[in-house]
Amino acid sequence: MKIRDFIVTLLVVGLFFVGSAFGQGVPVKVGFIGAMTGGSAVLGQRCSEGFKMFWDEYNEKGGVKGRKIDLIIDDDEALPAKGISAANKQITKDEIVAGYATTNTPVTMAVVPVFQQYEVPHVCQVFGPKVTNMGSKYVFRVAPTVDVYSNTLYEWGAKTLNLKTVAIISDKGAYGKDVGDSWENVAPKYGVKVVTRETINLEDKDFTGQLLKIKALNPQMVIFAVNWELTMGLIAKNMRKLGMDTPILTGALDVDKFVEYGGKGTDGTIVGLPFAGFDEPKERVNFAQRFKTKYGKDPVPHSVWGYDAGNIVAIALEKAYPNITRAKVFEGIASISGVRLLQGTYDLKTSQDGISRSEIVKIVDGKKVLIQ
Amino acid sequence: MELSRIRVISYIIIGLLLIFLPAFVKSIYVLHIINMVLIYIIIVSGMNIIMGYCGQFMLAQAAFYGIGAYTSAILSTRFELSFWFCLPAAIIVTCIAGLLVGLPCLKVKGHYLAIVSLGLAVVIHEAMVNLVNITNGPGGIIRIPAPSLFGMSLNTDHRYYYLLLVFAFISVLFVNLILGSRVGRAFIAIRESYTAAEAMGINHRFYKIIGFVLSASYAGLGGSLYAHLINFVSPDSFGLEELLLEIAMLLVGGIGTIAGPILGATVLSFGYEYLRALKGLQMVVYGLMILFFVIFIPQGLVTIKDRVLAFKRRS
Amino acid sequence: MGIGLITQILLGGLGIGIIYSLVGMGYSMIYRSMGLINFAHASIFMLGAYMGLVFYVTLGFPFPIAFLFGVLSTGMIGFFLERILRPLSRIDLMFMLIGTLALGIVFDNLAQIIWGAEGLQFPAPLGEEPISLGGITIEPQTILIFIIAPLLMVFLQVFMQKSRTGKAMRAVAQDRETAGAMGISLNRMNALTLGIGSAIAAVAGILAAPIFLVSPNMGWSVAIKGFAAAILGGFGNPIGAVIGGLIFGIIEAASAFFISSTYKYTISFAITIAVLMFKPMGILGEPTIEKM
Repeated sequence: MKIRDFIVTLLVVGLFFVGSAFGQGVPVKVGFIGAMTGGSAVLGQRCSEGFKMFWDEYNEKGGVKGRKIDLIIDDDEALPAKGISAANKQITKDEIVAGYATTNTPVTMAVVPVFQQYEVPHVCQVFGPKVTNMGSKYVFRVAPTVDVYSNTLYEWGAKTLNLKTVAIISDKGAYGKDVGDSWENVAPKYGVKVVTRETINLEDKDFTGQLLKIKALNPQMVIFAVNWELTMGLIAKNMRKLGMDTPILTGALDVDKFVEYGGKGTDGTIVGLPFAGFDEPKERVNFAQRFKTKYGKDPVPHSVWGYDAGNIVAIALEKAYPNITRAKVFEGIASISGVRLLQGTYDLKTSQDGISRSEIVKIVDGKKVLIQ
Repeated sequence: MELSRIRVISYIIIGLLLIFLPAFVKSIYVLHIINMVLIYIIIVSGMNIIMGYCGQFMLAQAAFYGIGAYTSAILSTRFELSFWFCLPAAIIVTCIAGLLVGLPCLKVKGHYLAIVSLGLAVVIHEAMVNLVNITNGPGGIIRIPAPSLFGMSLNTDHRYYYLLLVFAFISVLFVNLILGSRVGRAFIAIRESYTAAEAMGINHRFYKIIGFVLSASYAGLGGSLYAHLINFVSPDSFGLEELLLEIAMLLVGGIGTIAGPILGATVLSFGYEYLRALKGLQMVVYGLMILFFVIFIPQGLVTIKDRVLAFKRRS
Repeated sequence: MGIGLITQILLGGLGIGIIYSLVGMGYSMIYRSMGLINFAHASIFMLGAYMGLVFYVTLGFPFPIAFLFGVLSTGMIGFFLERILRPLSRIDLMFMLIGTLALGIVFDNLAQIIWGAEGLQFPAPLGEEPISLGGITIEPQTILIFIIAPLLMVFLQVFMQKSRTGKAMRAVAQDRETAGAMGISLNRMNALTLGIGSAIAAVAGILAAPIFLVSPNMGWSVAIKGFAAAILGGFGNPIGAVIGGLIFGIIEAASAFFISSTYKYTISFAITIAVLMFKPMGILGEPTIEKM
């Protein structure tokens, strides 16, 4: 090696040491790790808006008995490796007592062991069932799992529509796989046959091949297991263009955005939602108004998940006070039972999946009509 | 003191610093980044062989990284084989992949080689997502066991560091060895000019294949080490973003140099983390930073010292 | 399986393929005139769509005006980019790749900061209602693209072959030193090239916008495919880009229907690679001599 290379290596090693001079943290810190940039940026933005809004309001009301909360937001770009370094940072450097982590299933699965190792509780809204089955008691889910939707909707479909045949369109990410699998596996239980399952990439813009194949098989309904309203809207438009009027069936999405993107193609869609909308009850209406004032736009389901997640952590913080440690906050979260928040009533005591009911709406002329 | 004495002493100092590093660096956050840097040193050094020394615009390194990681993951979780078997197995499988990918690549050069290698990388990535029975699809593989050495489990960043340090060191040393050997000279001859190389009697197809396989083997090694460090693999980690990061590390550090991959991996990994403070602007500044380095310091950061000296001489 | 079905599949493939072609034309043109492979092209495609959105939706100009302004403003951005990218065109392919990609990252993230991550609607200038012709349905926007794309292709061919600027650009790409010695300003030519290339990207972006909807990552769906299309057809050749794009689109639609949607991507790339094995310079070959 030349002298130059040696000096370079010395510099590099020096950089390593500079890094170790990262400081220690102090007051009550809560973290948020999610996809803030990249292809899933929509998810990270929506969830963090709700989460942040909660903590902003909470701090304004005085925080936890006078102590304010420091919210630390980090981007994971929906990449597991980045999620891990963000988790390491928030847990070991920022010293959060609890956090929201994360917004995508694969990243969450990567960080669950990290949070488990340091015994830090975290909440998320991801749909992948495995997340709460990895052997960690520290991960909590604020949204219904996909099995809730598939069961509720199939049951309703078999009963009211005599549903016998469906086709599934799923995206090629973890969401599409988990959600699509659920729809596929639960179908036989209700006497429903899946005639075909087609896959799409979230960034695709044309679906002619897949749709014509489905059209030829003529199922009664087409199930969407796609993680972005924009893509769903494009598929709905494509269906309309190809003269397909098969009704769409799907779970948990922002209906207004879907209608905006999909236009007339979305008419007749049946959606399973954790809650029907922001028109009632009073607390949600109020929330929607405050959200609009703060962000200048309407809230979506993810906003509520973020907000409720914050609320859940806050409840635990208050239970833990004055001894706000990770262990106490974890106990606080794990003892939540029968608590009614924006989305509905949560029970994290008996299950790490906090909520498991779903309502059904139908889209008629771009508006939601509650049918169950 | 003569130069060689200084050199020996400095090597010893560096060696000691590296060995005792985990004692100084208490922060897991920082140590984990260092571990990832070590893995990238291996992968990018491999890429340097085929792109830097052999001059072939081969863009499949991230896919090979993934093959190494998945092979190790599958063998250790499904067949419960020891890490010490999985690691060499991962390298061998990746070498075979390197061969299979390399063969069609022999026929094309320049941007055509870019698209062919990229296309094959896409096909491999798709396989990771689609072959659900083997790879578990987009959900990935969890609970990949940590390696165990003399009964002790290397399940902390501090312990794993030593494993990585050894492999990174061997990898860099090996690149050095190759460079000085006949193979290395053949690579450089091919990079400079095919016709001249042929005139010298070098069968450029043969050496290119060796180059492809060698670089792939590095990626395979890095992949296996990654899988057992993070204990989780999924297709997201081995796509286009990963490839771009690796190329950026190579160029920013200095393509065609030994220290280049080391510098590039360090600067970009730590740089990304330092930039977290910028929140929303993190990625924008990150992109600008890479752009800056590539435009103004195309020979890479290794040349910083020479540039500073040259600057001083001029003024 | 009737003719109607096959035609519909073909139409779907052609509809998306023509957009790949438009993107590919931009890649080809910049390469042919400047020797640069601009991997920020897809991000400029996206920027063009947003520029169009600003003029058409936010400012409410009539479509032809919004289109013009959108294309021109994006072209100007490209023109000024030359200053930044100047050092890259003379060095290796790898630097071009990373330099332009880094620029792309900057653009993608800036777009997200300015306009947000949610997708935005771009109203179709000729209306949304699909037109029915004997059992086949086609969107008016697709018809519009099929009118404009060949016009653009012809315009580019003529411009590159016949006009003085076009010839000067090709001279620069072929032999920099001689061109410079003959008094052609290299930097000016490059700036023009980037400007025109960006304008082409904007044309593609604005035309695609009503179909794709406008979002910061809308370029990703066409980035590699547009590049692959251009290479498949013969890099540097606008006609090749059109052919390559259409073929790529048809392969995608056909394989999704006949084989499997899961392997759609795999098949399209496998076929592209296979073609390159037999015709290493693409279907129509490269018009400029490639300097290695």
